[in-house]
Amino acid sequence: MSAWRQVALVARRDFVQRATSKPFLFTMVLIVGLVLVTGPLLANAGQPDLTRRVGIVGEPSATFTASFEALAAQVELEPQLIDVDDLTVGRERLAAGDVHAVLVLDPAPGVVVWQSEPDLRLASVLTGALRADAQQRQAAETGLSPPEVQRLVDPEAPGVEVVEPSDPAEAGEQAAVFVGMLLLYLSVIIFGQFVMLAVVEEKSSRVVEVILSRVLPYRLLAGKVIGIGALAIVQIVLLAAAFYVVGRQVAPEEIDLAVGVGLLASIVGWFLVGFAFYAVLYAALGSTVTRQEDTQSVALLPLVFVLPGYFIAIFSTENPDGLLPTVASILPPTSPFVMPVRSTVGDVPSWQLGLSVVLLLLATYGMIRLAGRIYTGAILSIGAKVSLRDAWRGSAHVPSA
Amino acid sequence: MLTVSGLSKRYVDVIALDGASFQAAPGRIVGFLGPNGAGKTTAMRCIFGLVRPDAGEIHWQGEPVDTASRLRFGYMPEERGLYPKMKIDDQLRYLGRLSGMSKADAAAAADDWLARLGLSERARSTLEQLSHGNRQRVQLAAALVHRPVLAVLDEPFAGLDPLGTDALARELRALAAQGTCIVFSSHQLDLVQGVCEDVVIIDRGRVVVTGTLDELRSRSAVRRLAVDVDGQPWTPAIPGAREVTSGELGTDHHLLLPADASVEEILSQAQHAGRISSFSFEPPSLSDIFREAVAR
Repeated sequence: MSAWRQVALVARRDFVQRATSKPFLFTMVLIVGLVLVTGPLLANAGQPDLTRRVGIVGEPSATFTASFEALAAQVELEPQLIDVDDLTVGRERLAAGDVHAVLVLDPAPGVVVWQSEPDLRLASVLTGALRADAQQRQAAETGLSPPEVQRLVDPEAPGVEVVEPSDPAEAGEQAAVFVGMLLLYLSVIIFGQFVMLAVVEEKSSRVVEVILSRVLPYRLLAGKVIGIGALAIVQIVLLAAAFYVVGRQVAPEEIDLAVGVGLLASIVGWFLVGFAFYAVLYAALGSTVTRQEDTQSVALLPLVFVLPGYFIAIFSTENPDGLLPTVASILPPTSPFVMPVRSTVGDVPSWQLGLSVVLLLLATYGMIRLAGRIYTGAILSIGAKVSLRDAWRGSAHVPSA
Repeated sequence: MLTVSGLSKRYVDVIALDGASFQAAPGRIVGFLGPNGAGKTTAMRCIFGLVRPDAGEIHWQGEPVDTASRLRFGYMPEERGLYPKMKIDDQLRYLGRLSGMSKADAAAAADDWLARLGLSERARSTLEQLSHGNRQRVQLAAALVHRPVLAVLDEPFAGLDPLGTDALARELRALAAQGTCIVFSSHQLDLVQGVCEDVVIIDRGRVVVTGTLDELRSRSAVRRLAVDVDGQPWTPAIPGAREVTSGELGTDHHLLLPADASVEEILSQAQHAGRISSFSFEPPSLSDIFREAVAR
């Protein structure tokens, strides 16, 4: 009986038992459903309203209308002109909030009426269009030919050069990084606690002695972490797919599948190492308690590392090459949260990336040794909470290999 | 043959095992007996590597016991427990496979055990849906599903009613008949004396008595006498007689006499004392033997 076969059996049981449990399935469906349903709503809520209604008294000229539409398009407004009988009616509609402004065309050059603060973008559109109309009229009075009038009113536009055009996909990438970071952070905490609960469950139901008479403690620990970690990856992929679907719906030009898949691969990769580190820590802490209700007292400890990692990761989206994000992305235990963000947002030298991965792998190995010993020492102590020191010493009495 | 030699284990403030040695042979049912706290559970955990002894060795068929050989052993811990929310046939299959059985073997063995224990119809129930008695049965199956060569059962009779005790004893005899070596512990010596063939009595971490039950009883230097005259316990005037009170409720009064005491003499004394309503003169019980051995 190879060690790996036992580890695989344990992993499969923990995966299947949890994946088929009704509360887990229900939560899973609920979360994915929430993302799919509320994502587009939230995204739309964030869009500014571009429509502007203008009450107009009098008949606008063709020049006015053309100029009005061109100027509105330049400032990205979608104004509508609404016919109003006279200024009195216009004032009433303005007071009622029906229209944003009232425009009286006669007598020239016309009057723009606002209720309180003028809307600067709309004001520039209206005055610009009125001015163009006036210029057209006055030029005609001077007796110039239509092409001359045209040259005077609408001189050749200056050339425009944008040195660094903004890429719509960049906004999408920012959003994807943010979503990815949240997924990574939540998955480590939630599934880390699942590992802890699974350990406590085996201890409180006393089944652990039956299992340990067949399986060495470190194999049981490894199987648990792998099984629950696999479940976490399934959830990450499902949620990432849900976010992708929402992204395509809301802003198709900003979402690039290749970027998304690359980012997902990076999240899963960092999750694998980061989760291994935190899951064994959670398992070791879980093994020191016997009853589910005692887990509260130890479940908070890993957050001491996870939370700073999360906040530095947020900070590093603005300043990916600052000293704090750089250090935090290289050193465990914050590196699994900060490095994926930095490496997506900024340009991380490959030596930093390599060093970060190597250090995290080393720390994970150290944590497995440390937590494995605590787990082994504490897992058979039934009853009161075991101190970490006793667990460390006690394990000298249980074989670890 | 299981050979335990010189097992010692000291915890911070207690000596659990103090050089305990015993043997258990294939096809035999060995009662590993002693009062609470004598070191039974610690010794059993040592066999499965759950406790590492400070000193001593454990061999199976002459080879030191290791992780691989332990997979052919079955263990029922004193603290009963399986996965509460897992279906019982899934649990038995899982445990069978952890012990190295193939998927098909484990499934067949699980079905076989559930049928044997009359639980076939409950196979798809979770453990927590079963009655206390049925959980005990599943627990036994969990220890034996992989057809171990050595079954180590910690207090298997605890909490069973007389019918349950008989049923379990039948199962153990059937297993022993197939060649399985069975070691079970109990602190209720007299309750299990009908079950075990061989006896290992442990007290304060030391093995104080070993042998076959029959041998121990016939070889003993004492006999057990219980006489009621006119419905009352009666005591003869025999040199060396000791009054003993035992039983769960302390209601079992009897005397221990030297093995060579004359039955005729006692009988004639009793006849003179009144009408004899009950009379038994027999080899000592296991608890008598234990008492003699530790002189308590």
